[in-house]
Amino acid sequence: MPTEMVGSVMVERHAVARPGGKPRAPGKRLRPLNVAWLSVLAGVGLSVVGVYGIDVAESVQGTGDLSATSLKQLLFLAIGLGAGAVVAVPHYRVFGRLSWPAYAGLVGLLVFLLIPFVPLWLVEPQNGARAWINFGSFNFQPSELGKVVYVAALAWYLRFRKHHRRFTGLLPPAIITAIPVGLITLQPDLGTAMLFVPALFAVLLGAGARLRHLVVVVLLSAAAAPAAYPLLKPHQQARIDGLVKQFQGDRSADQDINMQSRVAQRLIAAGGAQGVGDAKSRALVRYNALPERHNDMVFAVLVNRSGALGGAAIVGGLLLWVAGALLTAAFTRDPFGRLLVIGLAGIVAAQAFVNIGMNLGVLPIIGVTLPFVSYGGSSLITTWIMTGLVFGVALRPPKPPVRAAFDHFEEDE
Amino acid sequence: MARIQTDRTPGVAVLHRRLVLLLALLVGPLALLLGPLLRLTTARAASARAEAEAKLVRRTWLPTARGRILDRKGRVLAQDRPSYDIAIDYRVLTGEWIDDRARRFARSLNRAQWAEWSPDQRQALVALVRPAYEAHWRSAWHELARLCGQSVDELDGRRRAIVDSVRARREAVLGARREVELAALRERGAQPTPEQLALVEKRIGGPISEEQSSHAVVERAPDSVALACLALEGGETMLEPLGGTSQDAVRLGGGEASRSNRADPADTIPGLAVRDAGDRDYPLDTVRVRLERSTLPSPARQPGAVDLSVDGVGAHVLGWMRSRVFAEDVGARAAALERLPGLAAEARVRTGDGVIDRGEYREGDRVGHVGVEGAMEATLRGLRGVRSTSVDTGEVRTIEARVGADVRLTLDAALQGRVQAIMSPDLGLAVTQVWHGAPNDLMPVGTALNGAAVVLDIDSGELLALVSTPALSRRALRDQPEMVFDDTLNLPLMNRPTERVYPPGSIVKPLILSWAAQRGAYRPGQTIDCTGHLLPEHADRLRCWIYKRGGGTHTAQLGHELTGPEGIMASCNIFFFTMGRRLGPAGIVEGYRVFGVGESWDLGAGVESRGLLGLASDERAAGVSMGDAIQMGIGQGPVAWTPLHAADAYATLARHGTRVRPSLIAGRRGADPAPVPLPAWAVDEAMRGLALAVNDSRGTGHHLVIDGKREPVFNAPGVSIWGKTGTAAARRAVATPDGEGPEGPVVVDMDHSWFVVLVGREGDRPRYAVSVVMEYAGSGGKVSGPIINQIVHALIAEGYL
Repeated sequence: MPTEMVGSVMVERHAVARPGGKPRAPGKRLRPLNVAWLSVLAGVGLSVVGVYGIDVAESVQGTGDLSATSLKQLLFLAIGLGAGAVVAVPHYRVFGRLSWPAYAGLVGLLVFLLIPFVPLWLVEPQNGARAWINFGSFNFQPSELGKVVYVAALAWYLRFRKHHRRFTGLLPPAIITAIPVGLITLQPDLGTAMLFVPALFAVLLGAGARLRHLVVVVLLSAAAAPAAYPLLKPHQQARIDGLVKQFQGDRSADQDINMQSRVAQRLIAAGGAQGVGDAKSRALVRYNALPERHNDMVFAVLVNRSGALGGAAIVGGLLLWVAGALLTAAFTRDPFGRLLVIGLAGIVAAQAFVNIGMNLGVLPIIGVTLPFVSYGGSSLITTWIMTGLVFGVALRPPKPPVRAAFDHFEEDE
Repeated sequence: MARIQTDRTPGVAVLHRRLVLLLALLVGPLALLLGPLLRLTTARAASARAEAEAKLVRRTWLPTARGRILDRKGRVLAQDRPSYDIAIDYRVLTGEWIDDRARRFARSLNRAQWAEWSPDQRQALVALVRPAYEAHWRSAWHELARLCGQSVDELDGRRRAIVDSVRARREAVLGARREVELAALRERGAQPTPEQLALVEKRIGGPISEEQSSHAVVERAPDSVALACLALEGGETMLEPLGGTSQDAVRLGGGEASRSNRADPADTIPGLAVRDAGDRDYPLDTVRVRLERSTLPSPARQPGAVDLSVDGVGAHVLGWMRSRVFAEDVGARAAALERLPGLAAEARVRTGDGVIDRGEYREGDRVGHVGVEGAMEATLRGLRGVRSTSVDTGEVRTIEARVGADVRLTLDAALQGRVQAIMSPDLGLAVTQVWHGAPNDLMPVGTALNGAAVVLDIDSGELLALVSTPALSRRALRDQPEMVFDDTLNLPLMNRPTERVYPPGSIVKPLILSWAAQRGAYRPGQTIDCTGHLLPEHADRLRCWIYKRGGGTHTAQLGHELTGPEGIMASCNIFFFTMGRRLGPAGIVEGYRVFGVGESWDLGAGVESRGLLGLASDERAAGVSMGDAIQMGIGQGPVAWTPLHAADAYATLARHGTRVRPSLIAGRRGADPAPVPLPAWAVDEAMRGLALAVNDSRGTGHHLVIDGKREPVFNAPGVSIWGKTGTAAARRAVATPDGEGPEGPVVVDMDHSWFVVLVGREGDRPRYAVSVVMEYAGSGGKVSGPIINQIVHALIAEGYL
C-alpha cells in the first residue's frame, strides 16, 4: 500500500473506487472541465480587447493592419498562453516546493537591481525606475514574476500553520511581505509594491487569521498613512496633492500634474454610454494627448471607444476572472492550492482596482497596468502564468484524507 | 493526531464563509468603480465630448476691416487702410523656444524621474533632443525670409534689433522696479542686507510684457506676403527629436513604454502671427477752403478769396483710434452686444469648447477712442472670419469675415470745413480785433479766440456742422501729444458744441418771452417800462445794459414802453428781469427745462453735457431763489447750456414749440421730447423780435460800428435772418498751478460772445438754426456776428440756401 507523508503523519493512500468504474491510480484524477475556465475565458476576452485597445491608442488611421505594438502584444499573448499551459501541467505542489528557492532568487535579483554600480547595458532605468534587466532582445522585470513567487512562498508557508491565528503570529507573514515590498519600493516602483499588501491580506484571510486582528492592522495603517506622506518622493506627493485638488474642484493643476488624470476622465466621459466610433476615438485619443495611452491608461481608451458598456464589460471580465479563481479556491481542499489561488486573485483584483480607479480619477496616478489589457510583455505573460496556476489548481482536486489546514470550531467570525 | 477533514466538518463552512467575505472584499471595490464610471459617462458626457472634440479643431482667424464713417453726402471721413504686420513671438526670436521645447519633450519622456534628477542629468537629456528643435527653428527662419522676400541676413538684423530693444527695455523696467523696491526698503530704515537685496532682485526679475508678446519682424507687409504667411499660420510639422540619435537617448527616453510619445508636433513657423496693422485714414482731415473776403468787416476785407488750410476737420466728432485695449473696452463690447442682439447673433460662433465672439479684441487690435469712433465702436468693428480645420476628417469649415458696418453722419464735411475755416484765426474773425470794442491787457489784438458753432436743420433736427475751436490736429496728437493733453487753458480735446456749458445770456430772451406768454406772465399787447434798473431804490444792481453804459433807458430811447418784440430787439434787461420775476423760480426753471436744459440726446459722438439748471436738480424749483429767477430772465444766474442746446431751443421756437430730437448719425434718432405748448401769437412776437434784432437799426445784432461808421453785420443776399445777440457775463478764468492753493493770476476776464440765428431763403420760413459762441470774447454782436454772417455765406455756397 503506497504511503505518503503528510506533515508529520504517515497516511496510507487508498485507491478510490468509483461506482461502476475502473479503479484509477491515486492522485491521477484530473478535472478538465473545471471552474477555472471562467478565468481562462475571461483572460482571453480581456487580452483580445486589450490588443484592440492598443491599436486604437497607437494608430490614427485604423484601417487595415494592426499597429506594430498590437502585433507585439499578440506575440506576448501567444507566449503567455503557452506559459500558462506549461505551468498547468505539473502538479501545483511542485511550485510550492520550489517557492522558497524562487523567493530567495527573487530577493537576490531585486537586490541586484538596486546595486548602484551595475552597468547600464544590464540594468537600464525605464521611466526612472531600476526595474528591468536587459537580456539583449527582451527586457525582464523581476518584480512582475516576483508577485507570483511571493504568493507561492507565502501560501506554502502558511498552508499548515496555525500560529498566525495569534496576533504575534502575523509577524512572519509580514516579514515575508516586507522584504520584497521594500526592495521594490526602492527601485522605485511603489505601484507594484503596493499590490503585495492586498495579496497578503487576502491570503491571511483565507488562511484563518482572526478578523479582529486584521481589522486592527488595517485601522492602524490607515491612521499611520498620513505620516507616510513626508516619506514619499516629490512626484508621488505631487500626485496625491493633485488628486486632492481635483476632489476640491480646484482646476489650477489641470495643465501639469493633473493633466493625465483630467484627460483620461475627459476621454472616458466623452465615450458616453456606447462610445464614439472607431475613427473618432483614435483621433480623440491622439489629439487629446493622453499619456501612457497603451498601457496604464488603456482603460480610458477603451471606454472612449465603447462607452460605459465597454467599460462595464471590462470590469465584468475582471470580476469573472477573480470569481473563477475564488470558486477554484472554494472547490479545492488543498490548503496550498487554496491559498495560492486566493493570493493571485488578490493581486489581480487589487491591480485592476488601482488601474481603473486611477483612470476614473478616483485614485492618484500610480503606475500599474490593467491585467490582460495593458500593453507589456512581462505583465501579460505573468498574468497568464497566474491564470495557468489557477487552472492547474482547479484541474487537480485533491482527494481526502487531507490534513486540516486550520480548525477553528470556536466561533470567531 | 491529525484531524481528518471531511465535508461535514464545521471548519469547511467557516472557510466558505471566509471565501464569501473574500469575494466581497475583492469584487466589491471593483464593482463599486462602476459608480464613478457611470457618473462620468452620463453626467459629464456631453461637455467632455465637446471638450475632447475641441482638440480636434485647429482654428485660424481671417482678418477683417473696420467700417467707414461717411458724411451726409457719402464722402468718406474715416476708413481703414489695410496692411499687415508679420509678427513672431519673442521667445522664438531669442531662440529660447528651442530650449523650451527641448526641455518639454525631455520631460515628457521621463515624467516620473524628472523631478528626481539633478540639473546636470536633465541638461544631458535636453542636450540630446535639442538639435532637432534647433534645426527646425533655422529652417523655419529661412522659410520666413523666403516668404517675405528678404534675405536671411536682413531678417536676422531685424530680429537682433528687436531683441536688443526689448533687452534695453527690460533693463529700464527692472531698474524702475528696483528703485521702487529699494525706496520701500530704505523707508523702513537701516541699510538693506544682502539677503534683502537678493530677495528684491528675485521679486523684480519677472518677465516684462514685451518678453511675453510677439513682435513685428516685417511691418506693413504687402497682401501677397500676408496671405502666404496666413496660410502657414497654425500649420504643423512633426518633429522626431529622438530619430537617429544614440541608443542612450533611446533608452533614456523610455523604451517600450513611451514609444507613443516619440513625435512632437511643432508649428511650421513657430510663434508666427499675422497681425492686422492697418491704419485708420481720415481723408478729409485736412482740407483747403477758399473763402471770399469781400464780405468780411471792413478792417479785414480784401478783394478776392483766400485759401485756408484747415487741420482736423471734424476731428472732435470723429475721434481717433488707440492701440491699447483695456478691460473697459472688453466690458463695453459685452454691453454693446447686449444692446444689439442682431450684431451679437452674427458675431457669436459656437465652437467645441464654448462660444467665441468673432469681434473680440485680440493682440494688436486698435480700439476707437472718443467721438464716433469710440461711441460706435461695436458697430464699426468688423468680425473676423474663422477657418476651422478638423484634424481627423480634414474637413474645413470657413465662416467668412465681415467688414464692419459703415456709419453715416448727418454732418456735411464741406460745410464743416468751411465753418472751421471761418473760425480759424487765420481768417481774422476768431482773433481779438479792434472792432470788438474791448481789447485789454489780457487779450491784446490778435489773440486767438476759442469757440463753438452748431448748424442744425430745423425740420429734421439733423446736425449739419458741429465745430469746436481750437481745432484738433491729428498730427499734433500723434507727434506732440503732451502739447495737446496738457493744454488746460485752451482744452483742445474738448468738443465744445456738446461738452462745454456757458451761461446763455441774452439769447434766451425770445424763449423767455414765449414761455412767459404760455404761463400768463405776459399778455398780448402788454408793454414793459425800461426804468434802467429793476429795483427803484437800488440803482446799482439789476440794471439794463443801456443804463450801465450811459444812464439811459430803452423807454426813453424808443419813446414808449417796450412791446415784446421791442424788448427782444433792444435786448432790454429790465423787460426780462420783469419776466423772470413774474414767472418766479418754479416757472422759469420749468421754462428752461421744456426748452431742453437738463437733457442730452445720445448723439453717438461721445460726451454730451446736459447743461446746468439751478442748484438742486431734483427739486421742482431746483433750489432757485427769486433773485436767481430774475437773473435767469436774462440768461444769467444758475443756468448754463451748450451751443447745441441753444441751436435746438431756437429750432423749437421756429417749429412753434414742436420738439425734434437732434441727431448726428443717420438713422439713429430716439424719441422726440414732448412739445412745448406755446401760444401762436407769442411765437409770432418772438420771431418778430428776432427779425427786428438783426434787421432794424435799433437791433443789437444789426450793425457794427467801425471807425465811427456803421456796417451791417449781415450781407448775404437772398436770405431771411432772425437772430439774437448775447453777451454773457462769465466767471473769469484764473490760473491755479496747485489746484487748491491761493488764486493765481487772472488769465481771462471777459464775457462770452453769443449769437444765434434762424435763417431761411428770402420769404421762406426759417430752415436752419445756427448758434455760435466765442469764449471770453466780449460782445455778442461784434465778435460772433461776423462769424455767423460768414456761416450764412457758407450755407449758400454749399447749396443749402
